[in-house]
Amino acid sequence: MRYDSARAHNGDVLLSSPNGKTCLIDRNGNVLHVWSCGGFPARMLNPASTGGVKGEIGVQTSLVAAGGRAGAIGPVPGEKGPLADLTCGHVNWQGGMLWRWGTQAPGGAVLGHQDWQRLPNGDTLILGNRVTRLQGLDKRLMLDPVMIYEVCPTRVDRLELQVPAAPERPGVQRRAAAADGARRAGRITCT
Amino acid sequence: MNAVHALGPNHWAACGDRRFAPDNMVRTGSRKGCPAPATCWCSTTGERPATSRADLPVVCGACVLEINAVTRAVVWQYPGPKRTFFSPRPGSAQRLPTGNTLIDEGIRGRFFQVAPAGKIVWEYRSAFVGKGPRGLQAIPWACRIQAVPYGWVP
Repeated sequence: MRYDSARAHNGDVLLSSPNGKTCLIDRNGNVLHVWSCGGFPARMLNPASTGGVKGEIGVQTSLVAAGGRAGAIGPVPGEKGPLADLTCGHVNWQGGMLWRWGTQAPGGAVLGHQDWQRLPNGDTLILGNRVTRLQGLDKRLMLDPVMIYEVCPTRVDRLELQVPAAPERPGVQRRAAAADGARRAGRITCT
Repeated sequence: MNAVHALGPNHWAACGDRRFAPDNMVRTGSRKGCPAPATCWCSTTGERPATSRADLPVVCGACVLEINAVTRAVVWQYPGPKRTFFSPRPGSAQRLPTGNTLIDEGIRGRFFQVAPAGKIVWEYRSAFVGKGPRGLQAIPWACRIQAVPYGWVP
């Protein structure tokens, strides 16, 4: 622990711990508040976007085993896919659910991927995964974070963008090649 | 792609550059022809080389870059030539109102705040341990952290 109070910017820090909780700590490391759900990541909403209500955060509101969803695999061959958001949403200081979204996404899960943003108009921008088929592996699917959703909390409709593939997708090619090699080595079984 | 952000009002949009319209979004991942934001924050990890636009020869370690979106010049970076922190996947960086930068060395759960001159003025090691990404066990990892102003808390 190091703290130069004269030079450091003073405020609190919000983090999601690997035990599935979200914590607010102060500059001295004291835990000020704990929510019983994690985030990927968790973020506190600016009260200017919540009508002045303080302490609202965005989190994962329910999880799904992404590795088991449609047979999708993680980037490491043979690895069980991680848990991902079935739904994400906003909760208040007490942990009460304010809003959530995800089952309306293609495939029935938002499969959020590391980023989201509350927009000034009240909508929420979410980066999500798409379950995609690996070329060269007939029955292997993987998670590809190419979906961008803008979701309005009061309307059913949404903006949905699928980022086009870059001219070169070394990551996908590398992962496919690695998975193919692992299959030949017998470490994973295609179903 | 692991980051997407609506630009909002910014310097370049105010100067009339329509590429930086506040409604436009910036995302990670390189594709020729895509404009970068007004000031691009790159929190590079040790998994792969730093952004090629910065031409920084990162071999091992991680760094945080502030890049001018138009000139593509690196205007600030931490650390210097010596790599002093490393996170193979998770991590984040946030510029604070005082000009300091809050950095999350995600895989180790080490959070620190760096003054513009590069001096660490706050550091905290997370004690929250749990199963890590990619099956790693019992590490205090944190995907991204957020500096929260006192006025946002009840």
